[in-house]
Amino acid sequence: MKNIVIEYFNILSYTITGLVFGLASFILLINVFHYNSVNEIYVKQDSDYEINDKLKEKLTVINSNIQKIPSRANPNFIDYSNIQTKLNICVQKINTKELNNIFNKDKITMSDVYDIQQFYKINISNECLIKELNTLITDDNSSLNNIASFKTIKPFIEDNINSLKDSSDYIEKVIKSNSDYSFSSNVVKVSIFNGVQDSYYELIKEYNNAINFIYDLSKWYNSEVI
Amino acid sequence: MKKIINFILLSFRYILFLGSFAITFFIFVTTNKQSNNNINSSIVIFIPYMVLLILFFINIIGRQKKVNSNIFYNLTCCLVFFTNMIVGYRAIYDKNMILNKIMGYDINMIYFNNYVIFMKLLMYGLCIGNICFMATKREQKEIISNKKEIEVL
Repeated sequence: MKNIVIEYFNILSYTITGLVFGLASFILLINVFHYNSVNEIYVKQDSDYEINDKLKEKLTVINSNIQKIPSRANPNFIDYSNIQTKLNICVQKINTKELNNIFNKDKITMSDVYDIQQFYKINISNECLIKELNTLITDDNSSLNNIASFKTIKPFIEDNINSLKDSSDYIEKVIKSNSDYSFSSNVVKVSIFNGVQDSYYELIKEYNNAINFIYDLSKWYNSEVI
Repeated sequence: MKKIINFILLSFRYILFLGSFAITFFIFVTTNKQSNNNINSSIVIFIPYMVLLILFFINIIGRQKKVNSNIFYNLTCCLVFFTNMIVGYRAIYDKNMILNKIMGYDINMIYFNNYVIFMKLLMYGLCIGNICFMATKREQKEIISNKKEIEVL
């Protein structure tokens, strides 16, 4: 009887130690894979640089479009000046050294993707779209509504601001959850969302949409103020 | 050869145990300090470390060869403490885990907290394994002494 108990204790001790060994190995390996996923570096392609150059060009064109000062003889001089000021502030908030650093980066890490998303959220979404451009459309009694062409493009402005202001929130949530073991960035897994590369592409798309919107608005302003 | 491997694993067992305890202690002290919490609320995390420390002392003082010369047990201990250290190291230094940046005190506490339950499981598993091996050893001693008695007779 004693021998059986001793044998059982022996088996039990090796079983428990074996289970602990297995669990520890599993956790160690999952950490190795997670480390590789989280620390993946995306090397920019030529197409990415082309997109960045086009965005920089557009910002230069926007800047030149909004330099035109409306004529004092224009009955809506104050309104156009107001629009010009707001577009100027937008361009100042967006066309910064920080944006240049983002565009000049050759290698993108998860940390860089987060910084890009935060720049979009703070400078483009909050400072430009919500603080400046949204005020053009929220006041129904504003004298801007007397300008026929502005009344025509007002729904366009409203729709664009509404779609652009929260567009990076989903990406922010995905990026913030990268401490989860299920986060994946392995380039080989083409059918699964590649955390670093796809987040970066989505954000550049949002940058493109936002700058295109401001570009169209500046073109309209330029056409009005002749 | 076996003795050399066992000696190396046994030494690493104690070194990695201290390293694992140090990194866990550092993480909890730093985060409790930053969030103005009392360290006493986190004392539960260190109970398995205390239990293991007592068991290791017993192994050394009692010269329990069944535990100290058990390559498999020593290897498992080294693996568990090494895993603890790796997870602690990543919670502090892996800046590409965005919560590390956001949380404000440079430690990804959410990532480490998710691991704490596994850490407890592994440490208590080692404690139970240690006790079971000690029990086996004592019983084996009795078998050997019984066999000697039979031979004498």
